[in-house]
Amino acid sequence: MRIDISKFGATLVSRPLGREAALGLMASALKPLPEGELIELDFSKVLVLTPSWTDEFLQVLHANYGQRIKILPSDNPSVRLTLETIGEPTE
Amino acid sequence: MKTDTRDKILAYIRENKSTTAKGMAAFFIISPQALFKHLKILLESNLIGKTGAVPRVQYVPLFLEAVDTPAFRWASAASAVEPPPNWYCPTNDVWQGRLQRVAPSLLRSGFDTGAVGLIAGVIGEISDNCFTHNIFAWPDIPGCWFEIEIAKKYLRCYIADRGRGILTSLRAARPQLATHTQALLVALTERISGRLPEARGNGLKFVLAALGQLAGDTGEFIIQSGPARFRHQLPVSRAVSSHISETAAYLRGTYAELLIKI
Repeated sequence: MRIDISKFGATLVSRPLGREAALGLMASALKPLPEGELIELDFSKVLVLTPSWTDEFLQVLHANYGQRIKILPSDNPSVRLTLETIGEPTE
Repeated sequence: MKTDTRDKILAYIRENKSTTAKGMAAFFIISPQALFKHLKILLESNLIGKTGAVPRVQYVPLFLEAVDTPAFRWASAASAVEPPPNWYCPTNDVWQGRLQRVAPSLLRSGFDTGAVGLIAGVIGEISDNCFTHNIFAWPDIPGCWFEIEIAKKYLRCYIADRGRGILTSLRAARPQLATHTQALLVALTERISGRLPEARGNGLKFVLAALGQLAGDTGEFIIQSGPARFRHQLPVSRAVSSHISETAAYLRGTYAELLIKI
């Protein structure tokens, strides 16, 4: 399942909003999630991404879905730098 | 002699914050040709910038020698007063609403998409810290001063709070920190957070890395807490400690200033 992260907004900043986005995603698009299906996170349409939002968002998802989370590559410098800063590898 | 006149022109622009060539020519009683020759050199040296279109071009200082802005004076004043409503974000939701307008404004003013992501990300992480590190701990005025000026290919941003400051915040994780200078260096270079037991502390590392990627742009970044001030022209290098110094002007909270010209 591919998730377009820009649906949470074009400027993604702050931990509380990152956590809220993850919980909202779990309660909607990821429910139910077929057995074994991967969750592909697509940041390509996001304009501004920051470590605070992303770290919180991914912590919640990793805790619940572990290895099923895949991050798709992006050309956006703020996406690339954010993922590098928090130590998240892209696919 | 020419250098003396140029220094006086630079001092005039810094003092007036924003001025026209016509105003300067009248003040200095020199020919437009001579004035534009000095302005061209000052522009090429990145000491001043231009905003607006002909015939209303304004010349503005790009690098202020001392930090003397309304935001800094507010943050460092002994007595607490509310900032002007245009710049005051008393709560997180007010700040978020204003932050969301930064990236679209930068795009409209001529910044490319990649730079917008980095610049708005920098502004977002710095201002987010104002709330994150002071929630339920504001010594007097809550919230932050969030002042953004965007013109064609030009950004000037001031963020300040009257919170606890970096040293007090980081001592929760590292009690042995003794000085503001040590704390600022740690905040800018190490993965550490004042919000133990939560694992945080990436924000300012992201800020410096992002400002290091703005290689094609000119500008300056300042962040200060206590008397410790980091000041670096863009692009920011990895030599962080050599750009931190102690100043006479003290503030308890945190102040940041970002100027970018493309």
